[in-house]
Amino acid sequence: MGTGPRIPARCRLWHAPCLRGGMANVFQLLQRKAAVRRWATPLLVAGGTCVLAGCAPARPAAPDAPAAPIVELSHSWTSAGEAHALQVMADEVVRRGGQWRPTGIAGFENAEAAALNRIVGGQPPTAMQIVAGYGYADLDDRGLLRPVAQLMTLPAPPQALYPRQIVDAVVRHGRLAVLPIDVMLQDGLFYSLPVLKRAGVDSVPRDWPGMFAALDRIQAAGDIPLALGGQSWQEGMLFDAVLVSVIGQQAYDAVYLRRDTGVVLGPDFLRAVEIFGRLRRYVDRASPGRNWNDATQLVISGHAGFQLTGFWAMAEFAVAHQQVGVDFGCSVGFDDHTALIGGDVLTFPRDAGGRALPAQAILAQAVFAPSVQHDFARRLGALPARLDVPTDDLHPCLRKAAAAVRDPQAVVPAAYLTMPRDVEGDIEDVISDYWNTPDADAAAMARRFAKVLRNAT
Amino acid sequence: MSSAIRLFAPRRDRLLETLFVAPGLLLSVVVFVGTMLWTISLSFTDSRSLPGGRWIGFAQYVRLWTNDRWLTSIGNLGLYTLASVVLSLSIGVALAVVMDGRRRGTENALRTLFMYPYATSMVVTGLAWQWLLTPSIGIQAALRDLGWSTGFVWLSEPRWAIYAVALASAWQSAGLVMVIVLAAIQGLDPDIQRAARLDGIPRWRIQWSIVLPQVRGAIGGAMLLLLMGAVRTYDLVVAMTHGGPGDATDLPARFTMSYLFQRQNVGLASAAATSLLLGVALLVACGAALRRAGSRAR
Repeated sequence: MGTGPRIPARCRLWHAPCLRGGMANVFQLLQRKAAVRRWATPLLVAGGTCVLAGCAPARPAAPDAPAAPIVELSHSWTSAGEAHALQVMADEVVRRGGQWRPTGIAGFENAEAAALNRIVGGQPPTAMQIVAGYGYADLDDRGLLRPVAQLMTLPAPPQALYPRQIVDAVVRHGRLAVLPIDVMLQDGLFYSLPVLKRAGVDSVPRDWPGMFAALDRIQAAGDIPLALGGQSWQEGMLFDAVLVSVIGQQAYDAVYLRRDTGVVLGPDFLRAVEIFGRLRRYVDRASPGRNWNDATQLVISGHAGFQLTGFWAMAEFAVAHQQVGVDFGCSVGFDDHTALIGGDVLTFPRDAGGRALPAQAILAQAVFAPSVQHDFARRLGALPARLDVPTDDLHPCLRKAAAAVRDPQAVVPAAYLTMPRDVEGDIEDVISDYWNTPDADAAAMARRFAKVLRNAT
Repeated sequence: MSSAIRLFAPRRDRLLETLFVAPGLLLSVVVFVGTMLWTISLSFTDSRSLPGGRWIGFAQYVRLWTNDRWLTSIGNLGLYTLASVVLSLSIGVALAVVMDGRRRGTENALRTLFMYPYATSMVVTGLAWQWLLTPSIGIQAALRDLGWSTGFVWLSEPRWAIYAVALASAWQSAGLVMVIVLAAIQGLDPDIQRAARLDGIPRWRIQWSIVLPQVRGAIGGAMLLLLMGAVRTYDLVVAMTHGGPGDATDLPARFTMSYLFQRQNVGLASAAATSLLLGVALLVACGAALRRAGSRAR
């Protein structure tokens, strides 16, 4: 304004005579508005920054030579051990001529939500890692996924390659809809050998009376008998492990696979619920809300006797330099026999024009390769998804699990492989509610459980 | 007043103002109202992990209102709101009354101290209180080391856990209430209090019968803020209890989020969000009606 106004004071932006003065007039007019004066500089700076930020990635056009396909994997393997395992996949992808661009987001539901948004928004990643089960069904129904057959030829039908429970969760409409990566054991029973020794428990009991006796002795010795992370998914995992150990594989399958409410309302199920309820008194009071790895730390540090959790906990023992057979032991489930399995899968979103096909093919073949199956699982504390990959040099705990998975009479699916997530969640709520209500009625819990199964679509 | 001026301003000025406001207005209509309507429409579908799906009428609402966890979370919300609002208001107002009349330096220092929790995020608040209330390391351990045996294990007791969360929330927001009420108190005409003191009325009576009634508006405003904060509480519970033990501290917002993402039932989650919205709208309407009735009576 220092130069003095050259235009009439009453002039407004849309007055033709004012506009005739050109941009200079417009700027002067705008300057007259106090608000504009106050905000012009910050806005210009912000706008400039945005423009610069937007332009910066616009590098000179890529040379005409065909660039290596960019393999962008959205995943939730963000812990140190998981990242170490992922490196196996990365190396193989690079070896096969791809560029590795992982997008890791902690927490599988967060990673899934982010990837789903991108798929729906038309900017899908090359592939998305999710847990096996119903998580991808919606995408498949809407034709948003590319079946594995379009990316690679399998040497055998899926039924011959993967455990039956995994096959049921990855084959839809007769074709392999998603690619299994690994098999995760959900019912590892880990125990601290020093704690058992202090309590005078010489061997790990394989039946419930023996187990309760051992838990009592640990409690009498002043340690926490059972380390539990009091979050509903962990309470659910504990229940499923108790359930299968009490009612056996066939009845378990009847409950979760066939949703047979007759079994749920029967006497064996009730006995399992009561045994589960009896376990409450062996858990310390700080359990509610605890993370699974904090519970594992209780076993590692010699404060707790047992923990039932997934085999992913082995990474915690490894980091703490614990030796199996010296510091800790492991069983597959409470009966050291039945494996409760889940696993991770890769989904390949369909993109417009099929530009992602080469990258997806590289990733699919890399993940299917026996060496990756083996090394990845080994580092992750999982089993290879493929049954034909040797497991002899895996960790002793995992070797036990591998033997169980190869025995069709000794495997059951984790609940999430068998039902939509909301139904599984409703069941988790029933279990968690029962666990956290000390005087809850076991029969009422079974009735609620049956009701959820009946109402499930 | 300002709206009256705007009404009678020259039309051209209004046009320019409208032009300036238009982008923001458009954005808020599309983003807030648009997504709200979309959520409401989704609540009538059977959408699972993705929005869309078939139109199924009120089936999700039937499922929602027969879901034990939802009903529990609504009950929890009632207890939590009541406890946290009452605690925050009483602590905040008490602090404001005590602080009024202190020397400026003392007042500034104390105000900063009491406002400080408000600057921490809900997640930090939740974690800090989780640690404080963990029996083996927190308050209970400290008391035990002093030789007292206590049963202070609120987070493990389904009946008490929700009040522990409310306590953490009050710790965080009492400072805000204090600042709002203190500002209102200091804006009052000091002569009235001086006159009351001349009449020999005790200090507590002045505060109770003269000061507090005059800052009713500020207290009401603070209460509205607290209520809105309470209804949308999510992060505090996630950080402090994960909704546990069991579903003892589950709140509607956490229910909605878990069905939206983890449990892949967008339809049910939308029905939950819509029900919550209706509830809040009803509360706001009741509040507005009460206020109108109150101002008419005056």
